[in-house]
Amino acid sequence: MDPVLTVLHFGAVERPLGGYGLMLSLAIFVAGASTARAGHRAGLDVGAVIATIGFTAAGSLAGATGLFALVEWVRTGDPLAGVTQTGLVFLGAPIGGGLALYYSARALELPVGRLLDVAIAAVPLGHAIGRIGCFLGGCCYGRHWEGPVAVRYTDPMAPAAWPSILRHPTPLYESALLLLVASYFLLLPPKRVGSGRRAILYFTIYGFVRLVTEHFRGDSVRGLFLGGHVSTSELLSALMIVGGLVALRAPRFRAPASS
Amino acid sequence: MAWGSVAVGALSFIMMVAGFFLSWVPVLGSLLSFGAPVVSLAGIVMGGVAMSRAKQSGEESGAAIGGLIVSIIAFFPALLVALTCGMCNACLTAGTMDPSLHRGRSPFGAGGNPFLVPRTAHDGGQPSLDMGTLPKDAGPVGYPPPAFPPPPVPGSQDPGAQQPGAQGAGVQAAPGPAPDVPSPPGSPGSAPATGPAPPR
Repeated sequence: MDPVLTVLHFGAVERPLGGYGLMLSLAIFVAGASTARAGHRAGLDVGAVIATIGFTAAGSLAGATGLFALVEWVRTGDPLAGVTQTGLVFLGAPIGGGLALYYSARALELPVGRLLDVAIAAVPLGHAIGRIGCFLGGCCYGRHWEGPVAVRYTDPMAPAAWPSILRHPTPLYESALLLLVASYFLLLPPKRVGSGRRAILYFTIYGFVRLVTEHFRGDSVRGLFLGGHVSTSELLSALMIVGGLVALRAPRFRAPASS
Repeated sequence: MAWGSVAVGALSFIMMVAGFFLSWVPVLGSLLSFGAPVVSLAGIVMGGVAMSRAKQSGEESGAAIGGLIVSIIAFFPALLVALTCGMCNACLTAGTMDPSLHRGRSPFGAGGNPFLVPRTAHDGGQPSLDMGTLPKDAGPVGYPPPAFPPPPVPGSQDPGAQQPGAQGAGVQAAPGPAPDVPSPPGSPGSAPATGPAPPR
């Protein structure tokens, strides 16, 4: 498994083309395009939807980077650790992206709940593609396992190559589960659109998906809290599940909105 | 705003190209590489807003769509450049900015969060990333001893222990690993362990 897909040559200049960057770009493109298409089909203002996508993408990147910096600060006790190292924590993306989406959609007079409900399938779809990038890059890797689909990274650029042992292909597990979730939201027509119920349902389901896949993760960043038994992602996933289940029982999200 | 989005999209494209070719320049390469997708996102937002306003007012939206297309075309290569050249530049920049010199400003005090487990060689834990060489047939190598043991006791004499490239002030370098074991990050002779961390 090679994190660098190919090396681009521009005269004397050579630059690597990383699989992770390529798949992340593709993921954002697919998620953005399917959101714009869903908004168009739902009769929403496409220009405002595209502007909201821009704000949301910026907020997601800022959230993922910001949470990485925060985790690094708390982990190392050094406020500059997250600045001098670059990285992303995915669960920061829904926080930053959600805030950006909410405020930008309101400013652009878009119905937030309706936009979320019609376009929520774009989130697992883009995330699934992004996880393939993780698999190619050798990050978010699985723990040691010598089963039939185990993978082994030998490229020193891949974090999973330290140590170079057979591992669970955890990003592919998560990608497959996310594709299933995306299929569910794409194929089953929404019965209630407008309240944000589908979005809350997605984040609740993702909490379960993440809890399951966390069990197979083998990064050295696992097990940070409660005596080394619970990772940041497991903590946030548990909060998402509890919060989602509570919200789904609220009358606002149970009552039918516009169809 | 429509023509503004065209201008911003073109600017992000220029920044992307400059970041691509100047990624070897510390700080400037990072600014250009990471700035390009941010600027192109601004162009996408401006183009979308201009398109929305044009639709509401019944005006021509050609320039808005043009700005949107330019910004979208600029965004994806810009993101690619940020995630490759920008990351490389961040490694270069990180080599000149040592976070261990700024320890002690944590909300948990000088020792950091007591509930957290050390992760990288920088923390005295296991390594996270290295740019060294790894044999194709390398088996489970296990984790080497921490690369940065506690500072030497004041008064002890060990003139050969202080390595010029070691991170942190007053740290003592660990003895090198066995010849058949890949060099761990942060250990003597390897790249510093301040490279790009993976997504989680």
